[in-house]
Amino acid sequence: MVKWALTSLILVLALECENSFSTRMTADYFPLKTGNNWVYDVKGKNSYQIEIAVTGMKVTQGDSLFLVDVGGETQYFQRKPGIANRVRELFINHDGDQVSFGIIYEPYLLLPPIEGENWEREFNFYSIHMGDSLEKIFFVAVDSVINTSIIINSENYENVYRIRRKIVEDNDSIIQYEWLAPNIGLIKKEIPADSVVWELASFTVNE
Amino acid sequence: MSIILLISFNLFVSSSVPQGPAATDTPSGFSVMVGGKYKVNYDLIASYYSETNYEVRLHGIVMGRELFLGKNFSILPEIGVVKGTRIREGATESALSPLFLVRFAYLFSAESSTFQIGFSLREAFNGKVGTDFIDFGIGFRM
Repeated sequence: MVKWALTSLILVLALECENSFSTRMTADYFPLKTGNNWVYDVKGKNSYQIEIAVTGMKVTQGDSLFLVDVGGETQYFQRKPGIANRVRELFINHDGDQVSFGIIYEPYLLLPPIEGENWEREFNFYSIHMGDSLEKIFFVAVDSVINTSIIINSENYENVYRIRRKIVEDNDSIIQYEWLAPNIGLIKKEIPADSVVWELASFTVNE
Repeated sequence: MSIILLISFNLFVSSSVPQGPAATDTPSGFSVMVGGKYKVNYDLIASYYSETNYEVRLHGIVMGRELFLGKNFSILPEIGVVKGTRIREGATESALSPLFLVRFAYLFSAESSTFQIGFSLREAFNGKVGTDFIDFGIGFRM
């Protein structure tokens, strides 16, 4: 009887202990599910709200893609074991024409995130259009991955991964910091060059 | 001591399937449990999971008390600790985690050793009760 009581006590104590690592191991940091909805307060020169919603799925060339509405623009994401890709078309505006370089699978997140990791991917395309030689460069890099906690709108988020993402497209480059919370995904985004900050106002999960 | 350990040698090799919201991103792998009985049952666990872009290693020890249902069925609840490590291209993240494990086994009778098949449910405590891994396996005990 004493043994069972002791065992039960150990179990209760163990059940109550929050273990960060197992949370990080079992949580989804990019929960794409039709019906999931995020609303962000965007603060910068202008303040407004932006809504992100997973509106459905589409099968293209054998790939199942999630349709994600980001403030009215539909983006396409592919979810595979260990990775989430953003599927996008690369194009360039040349003499009033839009020249396509085809569809790319941009590595958006390696999942699950691992502290201290860094990775990058570069896409280079060349084309001849109306006798002109065109080049398209797209580069994405993620580094400075740390595990942290953060308070947003009085809500304390634990086991959050913060990443630094650099995107270079032709002659433009952007650096942004993103905070990803377990089973929620993006809770904060900061674009230092534009002094713009996104903060999660609400998240609705489709059960 | 060594004779007792040898007599109660217990091996369980299993294919391990992750559960939960991150199952998409946590690869399946295999686990080996080697243990025995000395006053209580104990097992050393080593698990390995590999995906194209990262791997997970778990090592730990668990202890419990085996309960028999008749001659052939056994239930072994165990509690212990595991060290989990995730590795991707040089980046490593690891930590200790309490672990609760229940192994259900069917024991075949044999003259020299007992062949066993079964499955185990593993929960690495993360503030909510659930099953993080299911291991389907075979082994034997002496």
